[in-house]
Amino acid sequence: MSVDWAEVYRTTFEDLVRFLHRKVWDADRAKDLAQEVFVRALDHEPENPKAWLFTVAGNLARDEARTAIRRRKHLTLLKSEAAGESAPDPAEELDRRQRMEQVREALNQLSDRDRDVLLLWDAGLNYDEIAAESGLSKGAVGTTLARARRRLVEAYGALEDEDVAHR
Amino acid sequence: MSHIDEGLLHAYLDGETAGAERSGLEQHLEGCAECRDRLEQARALRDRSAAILSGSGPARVTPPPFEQVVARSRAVEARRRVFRLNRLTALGWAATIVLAVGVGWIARGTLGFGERPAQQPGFAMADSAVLQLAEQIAEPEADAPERTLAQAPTREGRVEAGRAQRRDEPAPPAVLKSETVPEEGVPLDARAEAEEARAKMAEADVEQQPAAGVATPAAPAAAAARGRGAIAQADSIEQAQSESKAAHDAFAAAGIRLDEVLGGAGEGTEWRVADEATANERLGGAVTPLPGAEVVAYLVPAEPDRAAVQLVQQLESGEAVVLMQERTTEMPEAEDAVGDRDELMAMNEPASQVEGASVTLRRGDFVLTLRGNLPPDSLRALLEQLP
Repeated sequence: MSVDWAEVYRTTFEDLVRFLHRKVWDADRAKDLAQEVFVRALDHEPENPKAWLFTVAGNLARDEARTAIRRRKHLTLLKSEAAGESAPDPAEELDRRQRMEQVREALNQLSDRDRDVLLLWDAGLNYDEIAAESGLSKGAVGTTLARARRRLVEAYGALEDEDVAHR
Repeated sequence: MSHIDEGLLHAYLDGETAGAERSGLEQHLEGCAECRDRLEQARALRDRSAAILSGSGPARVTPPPFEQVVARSRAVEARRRVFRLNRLTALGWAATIVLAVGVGWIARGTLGFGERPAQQPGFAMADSAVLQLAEQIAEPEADAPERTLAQAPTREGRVEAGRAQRRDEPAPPAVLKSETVPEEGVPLDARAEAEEARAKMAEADVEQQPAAGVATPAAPAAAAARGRGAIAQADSIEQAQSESKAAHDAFAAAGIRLDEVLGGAGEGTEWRVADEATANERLGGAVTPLPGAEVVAYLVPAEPDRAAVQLVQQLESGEAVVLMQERTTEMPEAEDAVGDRDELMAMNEPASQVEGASVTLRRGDFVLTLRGNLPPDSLRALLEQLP
């Protein structure tokens, strides 16, 4: 089977960055890693591109979390996020950053599997693809997603309440 | 009928049910108020979690051009090719240096060039390197007896060459000898190594070919023996190897394609054997070898304005490594990383694809690269010992 990689790139890159961003929490790094995933894909030419891309992205993100580069880059996280492609209103930007930190914290309260399944769904993978990627049966994907969504909403709600109480 | 499982409700909302399953669910929902209520709760949960996540994405993502990815992919592949070739080249270099040394020895003996020095540590070192390299080269074939050098088509020629050499010529480097009486003027270290080499040879082959010292798996040494006449005038690695058909054959028997290694593949750089002073001059300062490892040879690029030097060094363990030092401001951008990401990728490939390893380190204006048949961690540790 011949894969039109330019097309896969066009339709998947953004999802891949979003997926990676929630793993490494650094927009620049997420873009770098997404590109690297595609570089590897061109080398390996996998038959099932989407599942392969997200599997490799997940692995790279895991490796990334273990490196010193990750820690160093983290120091510039807020700066690089702020230096996005448009110059947003500072108040809005502050708000967005706070929200992002809360999401990050809420996601950290999920189990690894629940978080992975949720992020894969959010990145646009369907149940079959999530099942292939996570090793779950297709039937278990819905159950896992239901649990992950509930936990995220609860954890995020608790953080918001905490935030309100501090103001 | 029991109520609908929560996971199935989410699957239904996500459009992941179809056919009979979907119509069965819808039928149940029509008649079950509780499940309709739960469906709405699930919908709210789903929408809320999606909203939470959407607020945490990167500001906006503009994909870089796809061509950039393609270019990077090609660069990785090219680097991997160079990487593979470099390892072979390293073996080839070390072997050829020994070959050149052997030629020098013989030329001096037959043509009367110069006086024999009292000490020739370089020879002992070179011989040892040959043995080491020969073992490395021969090793992968240990399980394939039909391809061992002892049965290679060129064996008889090598044996004959070895005999002829013993009859007619002064002592070559120790590995080529098979007499038990030490040659006059050969340093003691070299004799000891020759003895050791002979012991290894005897184990492998003595019964069938008692005089077949050169027919052991020491392919580069055999190449040296057979090819020395053809390359006596050679002044470059390429010349030394490419002019020797015999060397080609012997290397080919060991699975090494000299034309690939030397034919401008790899980095496309022609390297020449130099002395230490020339190497220092080329680099614009003292070349720093790895501490505790003998320098077998200095190599400089044929391009006169390239400030680079390669040192073939032999570690105490006997392994040969190649240390390249280049003065440049262009190379790897990583200021403190050992190896860039692409190189690390190459190193992580299965051993069958990439043999040996290479690590790169930037030091001020210099890029240092160490290659060898050692784990990357070991190479890195060695490289970091450089003052």
